[in-house]
Amino acid sequence: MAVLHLIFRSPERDWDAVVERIAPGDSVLLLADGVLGIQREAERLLAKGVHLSVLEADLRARGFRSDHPLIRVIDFDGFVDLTVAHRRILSWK
Amino acid sequence: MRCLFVFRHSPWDGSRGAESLDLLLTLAAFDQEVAVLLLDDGVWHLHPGQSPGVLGLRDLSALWRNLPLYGIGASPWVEDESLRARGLQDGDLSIPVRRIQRKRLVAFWNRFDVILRD
Amino acid sequence: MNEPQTPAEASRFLSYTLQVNASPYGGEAADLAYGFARALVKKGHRLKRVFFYRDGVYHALAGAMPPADETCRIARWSELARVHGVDLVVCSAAAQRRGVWNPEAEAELAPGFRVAGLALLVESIVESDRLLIFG
Repeated sequence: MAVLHLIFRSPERDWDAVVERIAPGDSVLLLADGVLGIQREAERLLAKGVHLSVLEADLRARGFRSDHPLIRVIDFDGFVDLTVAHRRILSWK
Repeated sequence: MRCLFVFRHSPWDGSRGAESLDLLLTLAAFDQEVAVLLLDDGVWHLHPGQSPGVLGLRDLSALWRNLPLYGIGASPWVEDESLRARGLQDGDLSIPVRRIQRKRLVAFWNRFDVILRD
Repeated sequence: MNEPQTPAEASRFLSYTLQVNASPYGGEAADLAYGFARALVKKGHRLKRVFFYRDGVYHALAGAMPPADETCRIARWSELARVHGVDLVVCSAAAQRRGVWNPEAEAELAPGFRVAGLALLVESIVESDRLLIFG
C-alpha cells in the first residue's frame, strides 16, 4: 500500500532522512521550495523507484521547467487525483 | 481508526509542542487508537530535566509521562537514527520508548489509517 | 476511513478534511491549501471542513487589507465558503491564545469563518476519507 509523500522543504534542508523514510513504489510530490529538489535530487528519488510528481505552478514560479519523461508535472487537479489514489499522506516541511 | 501522530520539532519551538499535544490528547479522548512517533528534533520532547518555564512555555513533560492516563497506553516509538544523531540513548529519555530503525519506517506507515503531525 | 483503492476506483468522490496550520502571509503552505481546496470542490469531492489551527487561525482576522497588487489571502477563503458552502472553522483555543477571538467580546471574524474546539477537528478526521495538513 503506497504512501503519498508531500515534500515542501528545500533540498538545502537535509533531505537524506526524508528520502530514507520513503519506500520504493511510494509516490512523492514536490511542492513549495521542495520543487528545487528537481535539479539534484530527482535522479536519486527515481532510482529508489518512487513515482515522482512536481507541482507546475511552484516549478514555474521558481524559473524551472522539466521535460524529464519520468517526472509528472501536475496542477492542483493532478494533486487532488494523487490524494484520491493514496489513503496515507505524509507531509515533510 | 488507527492514527499515528508524528513529532519532528523540538518542544521549545513556540506553542507548536503544546498545541500538538492538545490535538494528540483530543484524538485519544475520542477513543481512537493512537500511536506516537518521535523523529528528528521531536526526540527532544523526552529529554529529562527540562525547564521550559524559563522561556515562558508550558511544561509538557507531565503530559508525556501521563500519556497512559489519556488513553495512550503504548510507549512512543522513537527512531534510532534520530536519537543517535543527537547523542542520545533510550536510557537518557524521560519515559520508556519503543525503538525503530529508519529503514523499517518505510513499511511502518502502512500500519495506520491516518497520519497527523506536529 | 475507507479501505485503500485500486486505480479503477480512483475516480470516485471522497470526503476530505484540511488542517491549515500556516498563517495566511507566513509562507506558501496556506496558498497551497487554498489551491488544493478550490481544485477539490471543483472536481466534485466533498470538502467536509477546513480547520485552521495554530498560526492558521490568523486567516479569520477581519479587516485585512493587503496592497492592491497582492491576492487577499483571507477574502478568497470567504469566497470559497460563500460559493461552495465550505465549513471554515478556527480553533477556539488557538484563536484565543493569539487574540484572534475572544469569547467575552463580540466575535468579529472574517466572513464565512466560525469558531469551534479541537474535538470538531478530530470528529472531522474520523468521518473523512482523507486528511491533508498544510503548514
